[in-house]
Amino acid sequence: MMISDPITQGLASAWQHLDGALQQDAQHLECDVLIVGSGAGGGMCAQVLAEAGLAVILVEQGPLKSSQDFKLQERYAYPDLYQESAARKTKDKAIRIFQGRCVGGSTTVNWTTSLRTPEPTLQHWQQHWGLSPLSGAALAPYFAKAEQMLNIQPWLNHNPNNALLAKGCEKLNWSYQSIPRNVKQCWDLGYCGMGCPTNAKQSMLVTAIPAALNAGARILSRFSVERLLIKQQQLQGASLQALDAKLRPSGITVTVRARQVVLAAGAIGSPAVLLRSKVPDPYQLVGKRTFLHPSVMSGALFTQTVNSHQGAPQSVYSDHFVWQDGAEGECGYKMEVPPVHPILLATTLSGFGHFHQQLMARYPHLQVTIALLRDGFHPDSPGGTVQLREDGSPVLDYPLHEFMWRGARRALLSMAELQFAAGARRVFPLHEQARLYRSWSEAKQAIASLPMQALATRLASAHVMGGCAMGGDERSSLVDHQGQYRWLSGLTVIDGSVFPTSLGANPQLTIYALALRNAELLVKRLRG
Amino acid sequence: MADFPVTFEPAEQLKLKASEQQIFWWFIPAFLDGVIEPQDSQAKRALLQRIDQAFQSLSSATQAELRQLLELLASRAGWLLLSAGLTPLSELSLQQRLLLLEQWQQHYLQLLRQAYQGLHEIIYAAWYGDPTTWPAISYQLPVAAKVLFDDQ
Repeated sequence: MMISDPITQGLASAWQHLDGALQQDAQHLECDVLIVGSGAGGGMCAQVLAEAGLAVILVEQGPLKSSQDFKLQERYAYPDLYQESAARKTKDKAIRIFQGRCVGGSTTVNWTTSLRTPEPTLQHWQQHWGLSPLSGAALAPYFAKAEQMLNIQPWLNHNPNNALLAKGCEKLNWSYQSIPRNVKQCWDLGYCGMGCPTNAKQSMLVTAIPAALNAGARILSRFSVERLLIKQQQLQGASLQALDAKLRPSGITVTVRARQVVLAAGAIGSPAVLLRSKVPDPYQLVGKRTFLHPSVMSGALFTQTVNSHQGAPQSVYSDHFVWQDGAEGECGYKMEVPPVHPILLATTLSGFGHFHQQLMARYPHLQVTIALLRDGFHPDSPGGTVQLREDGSPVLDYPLHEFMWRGARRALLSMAELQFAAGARRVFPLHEQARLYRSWSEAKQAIASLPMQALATRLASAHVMGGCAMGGDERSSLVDHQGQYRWLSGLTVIDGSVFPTSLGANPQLTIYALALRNAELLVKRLRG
Repeated sequence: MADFPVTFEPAEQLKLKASEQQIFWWFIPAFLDGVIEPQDSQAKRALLQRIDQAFQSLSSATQAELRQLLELLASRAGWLLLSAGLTPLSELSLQQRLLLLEQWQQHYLQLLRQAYQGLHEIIYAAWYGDPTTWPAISYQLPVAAKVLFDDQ
């Protein structure tokens, strides 16, 4: 069966695409706006700017892949589509980080959860970060527009993995909701994390980026930004390195001159570009306060078949514990379920040998719940810091402190309680010292005494936020509410790195809405 | 350089050096105890090749860190420090290797937990990335997906 492939069709028509791996010579390009990164921020921004008639160049470090390249297998998807082959870790290796590295960025590989910014988060930003223009009412039209553009609607056909989350919540009288997803004519396969093979997922790859290219934008894939070109506090463009097929610098440089640079390389990539470029930063804020929603995980074995890899990956969430102690109180956590595929499960599951194998053999009966810890709202949750290695590549130093560990323990307790309430026969917190527990009372006692420490408690994140905080005060924020960098003219940041805290919700829709708003404001500034 | 002699026949075409391959060679049967027989050289060789491929797909920085770890394990001084014993890895029984992994898994030193998790991740990613291992865990691609790829 042929699936319509907008990328192949577009490339065969008039799209302008440069592939770094095919680049033979140094080159100089010019444009109005250079956008660095093609994910939720860069993709959406490219469409708005190109359709406004501006000359746009969109540069992406990863390759341009399309539905025909998506083979539903982790062994291809991880090296092709993810940062560091999906093995990216924080500096001490305690938290595994999943981020896209391909055209469309993380939107090409995420699990489609599309939630508006929680109201308590916006209120916290208004009260503590001087972001009064970003009220729920002011952002509502942008959320609505993004939802309409990407066909975002609640998904009501819950697979057993999600249905068990709902069942546990019902038994315990905990609140839960259906998740809106950005899909159209979805086949309900469950392989969103490996790139959508049917182009049902309304990611940037098949929506905003084709729209931008149709409007005349140019795209450069497999190019990384070495540094921004700055002259007398004025940004003039960027120096790019072409990357070979293995995404290593080939030694060929392309220079782009631009009136404006939009940084949209994500919360690790954007600070890394700023650090490499040695931009003015009088309060030393670049890369600080980077947040992850560090997530703890709990496995459960059921008598019935669950097949957690089949069907829409995320369609139910529970916010019962997110705001329980107020935005600035104890660490809240959101509960969701992940799609469970073999490499993801085998590498995340603690234990080895017979123990590991016996759990793997029960794969069809396994349900996994995750709890995303809401970081950055409390003074004891300062997040991490993006640093540069000797080779210029970024690494996130994210030490975990007592405040977060308390949240992690409570989250492991909640998940075990939930899974037993849903009928689990055994529950296994993903922790190096945990065992399979047979009852809620046994699990409760055991989890209370598990040591909460790095590389004992298993942690993962798919939400990297912050590092270029927006706000009203120059001592605590790098960009204003429009994303304008305070200390350099010609630089705007439009991605999740501008969040001054984490969100307490999956970030893609917040980034879309902010990108729509701030790209429109940028068009006005460039015309003014 | 590695201090311990290489006690198995390394594959020359791999990017991993003989001394680095040897670390995996002796740990594979422990991580996959119950799945790969310790004497099954063919299965171990096939997995080593996939580990090598997985290694090549890692970022330069991660490759360098993993190499550093493997070098440490392959050196006499490093092994003495990390194993709390003098017997080389190749002379440990399977039971002793399993015991060592359990000690690393729960060790108070973060370095040893990192080492354990680093080996854990690459060995299991290489093993379960291979579709021939899927029937044992009853995992299969969706029937609907066959339609997608049949025409190619």
